[in-house]
Amino acid sequence: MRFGGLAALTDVNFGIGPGELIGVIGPNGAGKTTLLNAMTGVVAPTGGKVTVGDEDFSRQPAYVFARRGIARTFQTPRVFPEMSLHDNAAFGALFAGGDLLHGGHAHRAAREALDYVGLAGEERQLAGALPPARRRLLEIAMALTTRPCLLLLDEVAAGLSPLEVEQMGELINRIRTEKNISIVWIEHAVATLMRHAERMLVLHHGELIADGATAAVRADPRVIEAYLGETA
Amino acid sequence: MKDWIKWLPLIAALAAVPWLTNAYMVSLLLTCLMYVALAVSWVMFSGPSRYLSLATTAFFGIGAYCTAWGLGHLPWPLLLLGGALAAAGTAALVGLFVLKLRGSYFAVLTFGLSELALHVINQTERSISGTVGRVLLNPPEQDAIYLAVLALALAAIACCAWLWRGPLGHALRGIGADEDRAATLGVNPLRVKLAGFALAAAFAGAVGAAMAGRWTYIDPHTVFNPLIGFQTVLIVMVGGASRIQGAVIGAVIFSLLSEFLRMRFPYFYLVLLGLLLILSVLYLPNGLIALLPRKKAAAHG
Ligand SMILES: Nc1ncnc2c1ncn2[C@@H]1O[C@H](COP(=O)(O)OP(=O)(O)O)[C@@H](O)[C@H]1O
Ligand SMILES: [Mg+2]
Repeated sequence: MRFGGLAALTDVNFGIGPGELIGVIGPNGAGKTTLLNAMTGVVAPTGGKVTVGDEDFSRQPAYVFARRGIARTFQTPRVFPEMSLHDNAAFGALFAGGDLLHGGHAHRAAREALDYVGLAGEERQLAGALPPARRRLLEIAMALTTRPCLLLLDEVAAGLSPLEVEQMGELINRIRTEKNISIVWIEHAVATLMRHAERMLVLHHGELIADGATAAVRADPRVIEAYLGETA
Repeated sequence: MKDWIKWLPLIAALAAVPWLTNAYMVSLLLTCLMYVALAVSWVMFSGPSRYLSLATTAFFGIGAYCTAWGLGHLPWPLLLLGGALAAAGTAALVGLFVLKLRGSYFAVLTFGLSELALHVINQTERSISGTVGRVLLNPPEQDAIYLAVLALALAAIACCAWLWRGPLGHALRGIGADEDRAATLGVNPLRVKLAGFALAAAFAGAVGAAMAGRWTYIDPHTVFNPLIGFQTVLIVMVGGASRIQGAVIGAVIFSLLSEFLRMRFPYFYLVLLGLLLILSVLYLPNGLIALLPRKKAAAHG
């Protein structure tokens, strides 16, 4: 993936298995968000291939990814501020979750998802009135109603208090185990991330410098030098 | 939602106007209803999607020319349908290109569309008949036009309410707030925009087809008048784009006010009208509708 002369991602190859929880780490500007953009049709890759199952999705628009079961959140949450929490959550159910012809289903899916992430009882509030930390929860609810098989999370714990980071980790783990959704989770809160993820990817200057079991990656000298530092 | 029933007396009264009052009243209300229909047709797409369209002129003019060509060959209701279909077809075709652009690019191109339609029809008329204008023989009675435009205004309101309540309205609101985000939640933006744009165009086209019957002579410069497009946008800005009532109130106030000012101050009524519009947009950025209380509390925690 290139932006003009800048190679944002080079030679990054990996696959995601069903039910996996994969952590992604790397310094700022390493290309983590760009990776999610390429995996959701938000930015078409300038080279290389994105496949879902056996299908080549490299040139597909974002809505096709969404309907195929790939959901995501954004580093800066992008909710619809003038819609209620309920309407935000129902959105994905209608257009990606297959509930278009059954309005009642979208309604139920929205309530369930808001309940699941801990926003029950606030359905009628406008999303714009929500504090940032809770917007991240809303974004997860919006993703869940699309009925994803793969959920991509971009720094959902950034700016949260240590307790909230822990709760976020629990929630994400619960989504994986209870709903059997594969998860790719970008996060700087390495301790929490490593506790929940069994596999880690490490990006550095757009290159994948490590991909393996969490314990092995934690001990990898290249990863320590590039990102974790001596303290890890 | 049975609350339209309380409007039945008003609708009945409006429908009875041709039998109860004089031709001046009918003419005044006809202008009023025309602006209601145009403003509601505009707001049904541009309100939630925030795609500021100046194409109302083009759709209105295309509808008017359908009547000019078909009058005498087709019955009156079919002319309206023809105008609606021609405008919707044009919107769908042109939308394939212009709806890929955002913000001011879209607005400018829709303005260009009106100019383009004017010149295309101008050239077509020149090459077919050798003249630019057309005399309308046997135009419908003013009362028939009035009833048609009343029906179109009511249909536009009903259609807008239906649209906004359903998934298409939801998708348009998502597009208006953050189009790329809506796409990551499964919305195919181009398709949704095409559907909304064409639906809105159908009403503007039908209104043009109905209003053409009012003129005994039409030429492209009369019916492709850019003021129609600008006034429609202004009406919604004055009334407010967030609710249908905003477009309706804006249209009623605009048409009555311009008529009143035109009678009282024939020489500088446009200046006064312009000033009032500027003041209202400056001091009521969300429109007159923001002054009315909402029926139900929108939010509680
Ligand atoms: N749309 C874009 N246009 C140009 N450069 C971009 C764009 N998106 C990201 N980049 C660049 O690509 C690199 C990787 O960015 P990003 O993926 O956001 O990093 P990370 O999420 O790991 O912090 C950065 O140098 C960034 O400036
Ligand atoms: Mg990032």
